[in-house]
Amino acid sequence: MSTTLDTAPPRTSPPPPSANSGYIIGPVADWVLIIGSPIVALLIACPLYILPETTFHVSIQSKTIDARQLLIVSFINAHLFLVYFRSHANQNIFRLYPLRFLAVPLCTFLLGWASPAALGIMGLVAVWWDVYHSSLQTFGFGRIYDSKKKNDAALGRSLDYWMNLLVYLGPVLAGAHFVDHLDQGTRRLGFLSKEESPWNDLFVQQTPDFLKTHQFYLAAAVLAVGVPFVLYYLYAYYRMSQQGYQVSWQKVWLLIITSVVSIYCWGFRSFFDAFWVMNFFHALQYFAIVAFAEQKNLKQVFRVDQFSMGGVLAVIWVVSFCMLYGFWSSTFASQNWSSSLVVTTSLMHFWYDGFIWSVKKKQV
Amino acid sequence: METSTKQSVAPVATNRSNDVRGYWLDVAIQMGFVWFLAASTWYVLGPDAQSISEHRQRLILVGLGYAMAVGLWIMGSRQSPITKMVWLSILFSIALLAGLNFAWEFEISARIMEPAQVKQGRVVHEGIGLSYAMLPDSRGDLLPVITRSYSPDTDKSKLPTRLQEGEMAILSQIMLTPKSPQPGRMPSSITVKAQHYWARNLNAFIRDIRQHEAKKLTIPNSRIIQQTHHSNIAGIDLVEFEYEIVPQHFFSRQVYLRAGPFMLNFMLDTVNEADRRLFDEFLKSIRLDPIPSYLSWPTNPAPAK
Repeated sequence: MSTTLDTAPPRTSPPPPSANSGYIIGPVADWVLIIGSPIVALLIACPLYILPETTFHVSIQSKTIDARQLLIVSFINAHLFLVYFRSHANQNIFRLYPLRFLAVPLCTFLLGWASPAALGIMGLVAVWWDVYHSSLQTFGFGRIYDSKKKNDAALGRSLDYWMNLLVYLGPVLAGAHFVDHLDQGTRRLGFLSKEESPWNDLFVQQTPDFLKTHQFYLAAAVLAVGVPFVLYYLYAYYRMSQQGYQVSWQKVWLLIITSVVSIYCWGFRSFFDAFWVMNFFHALQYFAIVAFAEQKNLKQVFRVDQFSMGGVLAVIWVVSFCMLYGFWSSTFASQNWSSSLVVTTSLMHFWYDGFIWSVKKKQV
Repeated sequence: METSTKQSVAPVATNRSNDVRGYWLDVAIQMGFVWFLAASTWYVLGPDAQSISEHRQRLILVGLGYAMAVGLWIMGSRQSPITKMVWLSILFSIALLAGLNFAWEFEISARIMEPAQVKQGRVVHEGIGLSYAMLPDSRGDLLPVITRSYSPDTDKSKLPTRLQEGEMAILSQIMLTPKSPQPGRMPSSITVKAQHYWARNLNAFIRDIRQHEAKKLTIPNSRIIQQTHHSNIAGIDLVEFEYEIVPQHFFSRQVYLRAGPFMLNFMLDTVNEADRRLFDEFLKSIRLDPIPSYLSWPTNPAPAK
């Protein structure tokens, strides 16, 4: 073993893809794990939903569980947990915001543990913040692709922001499963008894009922705003390209593929199919970017930087430990403390992702 | 010159020795990770443990893997000894609490299936701290049975070892002997059922019981006599409703209470109007002690098996 140590070649970080190529990791990895990941998710999900439901019944801890559901919920929770490897395990990031990384999650966790009402509100916030956050992840990838083309980090930023919100929120609000989303939120408010207070009634009954009965108008409004906006978006980028903006085709394809899959899933598939596909590719993209951006850091965290296959081993460990957390949180976390831990992790993931991947500050 | 050579060689040798030691420490940490992940996967995905001791063995395996991985990882980190000790204390305390919690959840699910005993005129379920009066002129069946099982491999021929998520058990059934038996007329009965349950609070509990009430309304010719409401009898928070199946004058009072990780359902059924008053007396006799926990102070429970 000492020979390995003595003769091991000097370790260098993997060469970054050519700046001109416009890719983040590399052509194949980007197309499979980032740009084309919605299609990958769709290709995995389709066979799962063609076969009869009983095919996927598995017995775990003597409970019969749908393996598809278990897989996606575990994968979602695993990617939520993954944020800590960037926020807390990366010392360069951690030193920037120690208060946000220590005091805030601790207080949030204790609050959710102590108060069922607070936990319910946190859960409700998490449901809708999740949709917003997912749209911002695609936005973030788009901005990184733009920066790879040496475009100004501020150029087209607002346009991309609104475009990504439209791509995600539009199909959810206008799609056939908006009611399911509302019901999911209402269940989180189950601790409120609507007989006790008019405010509770407003939250639990009146607002969801109003939105359900007026969804047609909501869908019409999304279309009325969305279609002109898409036209304006294309026109604005056309103008910018004439003024020197370098079009990133990776970003263009990312937006096209994400939009088509989002509209197809939320508009034409069942709620569970849509939920599965949209969350799967979102988590896959996140694992890809963390495994790439944090490669050196992960090797140090898992103490594998001395091994020749250290990079691969680090990815195996981070996926395994995150999936273990994901599996635990989706199967066992039913008590107050564990529910609070899971919801806190969700909220911190959504929040942290807003400032630990700054293109402007060149953190990516 | 000679001195300077010695000075430069010594640190190199030390560094190399440290490197080798660090290398083997890293290998040991990797083995700890493998052990911990393998043991955790076996614990979660493997076949259900058949006894409390088997369950404890699995937990110990997970704990040893955790101790090896986390312990060595912290010991090998570049922190001061005090910081290392603080981290070790925190992480091992959390692991110990989690392990005790897992053990308690498993063991309490086994203890709830222990047959109740009659002591001084009371039916006592020791495992969950529940007792109630054995009514006069009554006979009881105190052998627990699982009535609704989602487990594909449940063997109905033997006494179940524990109550699992999604299953429902009848813990006891007490039949009241009628003073003037009439042929074809059912005797009044009290049935105690249990299932795993968790609610955030009393409001959520009440809401869940309303759903049970709504299901009873789907029974033909049934009507609700008392809607779901909260009551406090003998210091215990109960949620109950009552319905009647009209042609038979069959009254069923459904009383629910939360006991640790379980929901208990007392079904008080009768076709004899007079026995409904007896049920009030019965409910007043219920006593519910906190379920003993490994973490409770000062008493620790004796293991069931």
